[in-house]
Amino acid sequence: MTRNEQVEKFISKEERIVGLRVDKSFRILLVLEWIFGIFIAAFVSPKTWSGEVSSIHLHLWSSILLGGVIISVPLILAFTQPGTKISRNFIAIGQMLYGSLLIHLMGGRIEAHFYIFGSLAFLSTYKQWDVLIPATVVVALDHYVRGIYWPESVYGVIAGAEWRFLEHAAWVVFEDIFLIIAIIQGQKDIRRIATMTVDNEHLKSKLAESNLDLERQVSSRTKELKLALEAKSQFLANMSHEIRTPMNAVISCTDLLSKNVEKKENKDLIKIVRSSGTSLLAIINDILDFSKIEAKKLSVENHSFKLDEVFDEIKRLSSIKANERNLKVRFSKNFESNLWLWGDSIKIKQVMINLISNALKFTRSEVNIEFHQIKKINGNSTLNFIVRDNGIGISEEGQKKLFKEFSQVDSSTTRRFGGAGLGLFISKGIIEAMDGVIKVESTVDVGSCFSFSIELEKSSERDTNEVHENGEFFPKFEGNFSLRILLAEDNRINQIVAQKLIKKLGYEVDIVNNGREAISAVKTVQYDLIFMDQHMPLLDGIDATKVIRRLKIKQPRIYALTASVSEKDKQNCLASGMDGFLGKPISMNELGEAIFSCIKDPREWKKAK
Amino acid sequence: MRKVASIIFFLAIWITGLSVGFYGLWSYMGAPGVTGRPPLSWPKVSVLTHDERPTLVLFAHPKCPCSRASINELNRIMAKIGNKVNYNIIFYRPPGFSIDEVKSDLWNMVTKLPFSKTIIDHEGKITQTFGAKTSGQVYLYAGGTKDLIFTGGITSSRGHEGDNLGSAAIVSYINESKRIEKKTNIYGCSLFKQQKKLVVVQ
Repeated sequence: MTRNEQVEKFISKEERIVGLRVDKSFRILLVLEWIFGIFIAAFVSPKTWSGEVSSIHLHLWSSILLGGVIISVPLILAFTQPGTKISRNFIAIGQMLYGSLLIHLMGGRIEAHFYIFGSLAFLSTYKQWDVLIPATVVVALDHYVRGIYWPESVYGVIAGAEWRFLEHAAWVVFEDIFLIIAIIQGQKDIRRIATMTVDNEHLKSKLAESNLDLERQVSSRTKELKLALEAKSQFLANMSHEIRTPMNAVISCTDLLSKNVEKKENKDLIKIVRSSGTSLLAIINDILDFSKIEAKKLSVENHSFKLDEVFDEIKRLSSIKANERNLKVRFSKNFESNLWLWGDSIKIKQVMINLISNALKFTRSEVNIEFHQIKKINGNSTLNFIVRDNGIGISEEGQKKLFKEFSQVDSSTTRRFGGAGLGLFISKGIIEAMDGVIKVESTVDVGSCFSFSIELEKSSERDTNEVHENGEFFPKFEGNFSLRILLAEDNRINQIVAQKLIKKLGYEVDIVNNGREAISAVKTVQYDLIFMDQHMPLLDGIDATKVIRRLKIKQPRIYALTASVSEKDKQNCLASGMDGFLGKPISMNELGEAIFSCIKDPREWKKAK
Repeated sequence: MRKVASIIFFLAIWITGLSVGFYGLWSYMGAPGVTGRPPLSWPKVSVLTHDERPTLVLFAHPKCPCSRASINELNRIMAKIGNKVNYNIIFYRPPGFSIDEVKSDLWNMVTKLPFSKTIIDHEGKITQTFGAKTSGQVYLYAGGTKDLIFTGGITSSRGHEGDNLGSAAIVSYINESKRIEKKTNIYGCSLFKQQKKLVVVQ
């Protein structure tokens, strides 16, 4: 549609709206003037007399009947064809005819003639000058016809001149001229508004198109970014898996080696290897956490935990680290004893250890660690954890970028104190995932105070699982329990490591290289426990588990043993029918727990211990 | 097509209705009342004023709505000719009408007119003397000769104010001594109870 066509369409629409509005007004006016006419007739000439006898005056009948006839068609059209040309033209004719009747009913008074002029003005609100034509024609025709056939009734003379109707019609035309000028001016205004509106609409439409285009571009870029982010996450996960697998071997082997080495020098070397491996693993874990936080996929796994136990563990770990650096650590706790809370204690501890590690790294002489419990009205408790050091402090500028990824106060910090600059970013991500707040207050050369607050529900559940720090808590089960264990693992080094660790716990293990072999094995031997790697050639651990679960055999317990440690991996493993999930590097503690889970009677476990 | 036919049909009915209605209205309005035989010279009626000036007598039915226009027209005539004329307005009292009924709105209008004398014709003697039959009939007698100059109505149709031959004839005679019309139609209610019989005075 061209611009001109759009303008014409707008004008046409506007005219119709105006027409509808005025027609609506006339619906009321027509009825009102009919009632008014009856009232006038009843008031002015209700009866006609013949001596002492009276009868209804014809004016009264005329006001009812003729008045009704006059308004009928305009009224019907105003209801059935509102906003149309035919409707307004008949309303115009009706108005003039009714004006004529009203003049008669009012005894031809000159004042009654103003009704005609008023009607013309009202008709002009249609903003269509052509509506004045039928109205004017009716007036002129009325005077012309009566001037010819009954001149006395209009001019007061017996013989009227043919042209005299023009004298009366001219007054109407005189008013028409002013009304037409006003109408044309109004139409020009409407056209101007229409043009402006169409131009605005055109601009709006262009803007909308432009916005749509931008939205498409943004959407496309967002998709690309999402894909890139997913690719990055996948890359990180893969890298993590690839690094964790050899790291598993390194750390586990050093554990095993440390038991068999007597020479102190060698023990120290093994200790260094293990420490380096653990550090490397910590960095990998940080990178994994970072990618989860960035992708907003970090999840918290709530469970029941005892705050005393968290405090004790933090105290023990902090003391060990502080002793290594000859630093003093002071602890203060301000919470009710035997307090059980509902939350993710592992992640809470991760944040606490991270803050304490930083404090120990930067303090000059001592670190103060505080645990506070603030009871809430709703029964929950807010846990405030505070770590203060008297280290180098952080400037205000430094504080601003402290919780951002890869940020350390300055690049020299990395060189002096090490770290990837992810710890505080991850801590913030974890605390915010728990709807908590983490903050720092610091003064340069005085020290820093890191703290976080999280609201936790009080837990009624009592988790009785015992936490074991290392394999040394586990006794040898051999001779006490007869268990057949199968290991499905494709990596030769991991096979050896796992085999040795299990052996150290007192059990023999059969080894297969992939899922298919695992299925064949369970068909021939009744295993009590299977450690299943997730990623294997020919058939992976998840599919193998699904097949095993469908076999009509005495079902073994199956534990995932994998370097893919994301929450999604864990869920996939459990969904396939596995009973538990062990991440690499394998710890003897977790292996022990898994084996322990196969022993049905816990009393026997205690006896064995 | 059917719709157009329906529109034309209803339109035809409407136009017919309008035509019949307006024709009926105009016919009624243009139908004059009966004109009686007027005395050609001033009859001797003691209660009426008649001096050297011309005398105008108007007969009215107290409740005739059409005569309101006649009184208004008389008012206009008075404005033009002033007290050059003796004005007598006779209110015929139909049988059964109380005095209060005679002293109607029309009476009140008349009493406000200047120069005029208003009389109630209780038994219709004055009315019959002048031979008046229709409310609004006016008689104008010359001052000197006391001859009838003009008789008829002073409205152009029933109850319709405005320019009319009767008023023009009176004003013309008084102000210019010109007799442009001797008789005009009278538009008003019948003064006496009678069968309706419309007679057009030519």
